[in-house]
Amino acid sequence: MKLELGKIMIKDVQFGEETKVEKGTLYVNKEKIKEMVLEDKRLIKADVELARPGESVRIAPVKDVIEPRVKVEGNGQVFPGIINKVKTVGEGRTHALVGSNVVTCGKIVGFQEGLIDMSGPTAKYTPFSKTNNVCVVIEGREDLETHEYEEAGRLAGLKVAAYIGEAGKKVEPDEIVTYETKPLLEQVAEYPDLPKVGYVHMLQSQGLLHDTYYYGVDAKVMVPTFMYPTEMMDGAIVSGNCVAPCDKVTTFHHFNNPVIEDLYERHGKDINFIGVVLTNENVWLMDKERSSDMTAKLCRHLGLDGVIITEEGYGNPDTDLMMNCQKVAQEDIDVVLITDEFPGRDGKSQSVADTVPEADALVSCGNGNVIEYFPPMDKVIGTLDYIETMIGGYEGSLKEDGSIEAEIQIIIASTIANGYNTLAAKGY
Amino acid sequence: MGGDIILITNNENFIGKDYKVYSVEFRKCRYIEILTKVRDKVHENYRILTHPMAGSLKPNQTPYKSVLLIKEETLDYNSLNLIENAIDSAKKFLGFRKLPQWNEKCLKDFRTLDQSFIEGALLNKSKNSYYIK
Repeated sequence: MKLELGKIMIKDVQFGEETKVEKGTLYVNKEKIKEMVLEDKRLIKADVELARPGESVRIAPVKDVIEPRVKVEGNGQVFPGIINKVKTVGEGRTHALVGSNVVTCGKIVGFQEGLIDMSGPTAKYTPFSKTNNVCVVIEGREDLETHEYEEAGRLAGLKVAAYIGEAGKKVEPDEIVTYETKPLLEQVAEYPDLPKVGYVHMLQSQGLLHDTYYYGVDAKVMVPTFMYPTEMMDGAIVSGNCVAPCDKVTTFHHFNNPVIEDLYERHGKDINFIGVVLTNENVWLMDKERSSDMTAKLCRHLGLDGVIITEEGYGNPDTDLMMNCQKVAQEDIDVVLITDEFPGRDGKSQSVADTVPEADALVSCGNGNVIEYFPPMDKVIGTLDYIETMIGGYEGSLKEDGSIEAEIQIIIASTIANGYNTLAAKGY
Repeated sequence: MGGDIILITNNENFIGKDYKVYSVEFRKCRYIEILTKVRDKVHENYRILTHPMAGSLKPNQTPYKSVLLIKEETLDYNSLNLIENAIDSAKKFLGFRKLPQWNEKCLKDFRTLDQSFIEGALLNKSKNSYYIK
């Protein structure tokens, strides 16, 4: 499967009569977006605000972040099985408005969401302080159940991102990157002397507000499967997760998975990147046994020599992480884990909730318990009403002047457990 | 077919409903006390069916906890290990910071989530499989 990803670099975002891209500026039609969001009768209010890098703006509470993309050639459309017909994606050509994002935010569930600062000392913790953000501020009907609200918010963000993505369909990209993974036997034959490496991608799937969708399937009811990495670049995986902000894998991160990016970078040089084993994170121990057994079986079946495993979340998923690690290692496959840590402010407590002797190579993406000071911002998109009840916030977090003292786990993607952050260990 | 399945919970959403598959043992108590109750049950030869840290909500964030167990003939050491780890972890987090004073809307959301972790897990399996050791 071969995908050309055309990157259209966006340097600014403005409102305009027409949604279009011109000389690196993205123009968006505010009214059209509002209208589109309010088509869902579960949502009663919608607004659109813009946030650019360096501005004195705080966005809170943030639900999802989505890069606008569009299929230009090849089968299917972005987000198959969710807002478009089910069709295998990942082949042909896709355009991405790189440097811009749709950010869904506003009065949401009380405790799950986090914040993005566009400037100041805490902006460095989130990649979304460096992008031009179209913030879709939504409000649901008062009587709406939490999970219905999550769905309405999720779909609103995806629809708006797909709509904005269309603006890039006929624009000549600034850069085209080609990614290719061949069918297994051909891929193995292409670089027979290089070690075969796979990526075990664990999807958050524990229950309401902890869900991820693969071609529209709730990941908790699927069994582990094999996928081409390029399928993810077309939106085959969508986030429905509202758990801890710091390690929430947003839909942006599914599009732009840094493990996949780096494995492709090394593909054909010192490794042979075979593909992705997709698995889930469940509540029932029996499901964990089954999924980790199947993950190990698939890795062995694919003839892998080495595997990188990432997780989403803390606690229960640590058990899946360690079971995957142990069982894959027992197949005589080298395993490297990537995760973040919650070892207390001083970093001295146990970092993860579970461990096995086979977990002897682990890359950390930072300590979510570190406390930071967030100075006041001139403008708030959304509301600060929920700061003290957000994960990472606490009683007394929000000061009268609008400044905040909180753990960095309140910041979207600050310790994201796939390395798309600034706290990850990096090689130079 | 197999032993009794019980749900140890402090989540009132489970009160008064007939779940057929499992019986509900509700206690009005703290999160950590549910974990210690589960540990006691493990010593009475109950085996844990659902992960005691389900939900990625840390023990100093949510006040609710529900765990499903099944009665066995002998002590299940994996369950014991699992629950002791969960208790250690909960104590660690509660040592960092105590549980916030949540408003009723947040509490309702936490209850809904906790309930979904148990009920969602029932969706994808054949009933007899609960009893397989």
